Amino acid sequence: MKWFFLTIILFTHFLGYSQQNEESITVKKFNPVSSISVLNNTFNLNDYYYGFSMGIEDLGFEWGARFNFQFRPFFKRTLIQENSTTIRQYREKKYFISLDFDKRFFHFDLAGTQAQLFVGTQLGVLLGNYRATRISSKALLNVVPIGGLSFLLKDNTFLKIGFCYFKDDLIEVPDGKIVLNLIFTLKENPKFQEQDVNDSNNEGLIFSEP
Amino acid sequence: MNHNFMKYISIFLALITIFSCTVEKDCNPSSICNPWPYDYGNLNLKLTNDHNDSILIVLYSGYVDDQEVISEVYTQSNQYSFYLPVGNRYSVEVYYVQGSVTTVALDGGRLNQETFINCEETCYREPNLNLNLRKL
Repeated sequence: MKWFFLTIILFTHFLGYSQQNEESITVKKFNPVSSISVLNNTFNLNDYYYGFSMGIEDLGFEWGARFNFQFRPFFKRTLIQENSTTIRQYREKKYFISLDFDKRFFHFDLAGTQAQLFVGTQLGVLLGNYRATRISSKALLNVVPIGGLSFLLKDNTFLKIGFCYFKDDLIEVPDGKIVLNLIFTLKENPKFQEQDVNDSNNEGLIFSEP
Repeated sequence: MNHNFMKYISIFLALITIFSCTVEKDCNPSSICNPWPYDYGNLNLKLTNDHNDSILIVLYSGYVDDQEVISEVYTQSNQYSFYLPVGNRYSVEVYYVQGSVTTVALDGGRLNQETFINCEETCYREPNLNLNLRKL
């Protein structure tokens, strides 16, 4: 995880910072808008979760909070250690219900696109059921740390690509997974309001357009 | 509401609609049609057995929790089939023993009668339930 962040920080160190020039000295203010994601993917080479979420995205202070539902859309063969001598191999479906929080920071341009780093967490419960038996998998309270890159696409659409530590108690599935999430913000007028910070009547600038 | 967002949602819903259902409306008079339902079908198991070891298979009626054992057999093959009444749910446990560790693979499902319509006639396919119980 630390190498992932270190690589990103070193890589972005040599890029231009879009908010560090004189024209873009900003004062932020709380500016929440509704957000929705219908393409929330968490995966690695051994597993895949698809999901959708709804919540708010604060365009001023650049954080988001969403109610999230993810699931594995197929029965997967999984291994669960029952005791030291027995391993159970099930056909399993999983569901993950969580509250997601993330904070974006550190503006920079990456290949002509506004990008930021983000860190966050998913607080939730991982549920599951098996084929051929009525028992369900043990509910697992999960705190999933996430970090990565957030790209600001047009009309306040965010593409978040990152890495998370998603514990699932499965022997054959590594806990480290990739996150790929496309978040739409629901705002009538996507243009941000820009105001002069020297104006005494000014409440502040929300965000500066690229 | 954001125009582009509505566009993405529309495309997404259209894709779901396109791929959500297929309807067999073909009429092929030369195709073989069995108009009688089957009473029995095949429960086919795929196993892992590279060294032709003796592997225990336990077949249950219903869910494995019900503990209604129909059959316990050993096989040295990497596949096995049962011929069973149609319409019931079955569960299968396969015991892979390696040293002191036993991996119990479990899977199951309902052995359903499959039908299709050809030239407005109901045709029956031989029921098959295929379970992949290979060891991970």
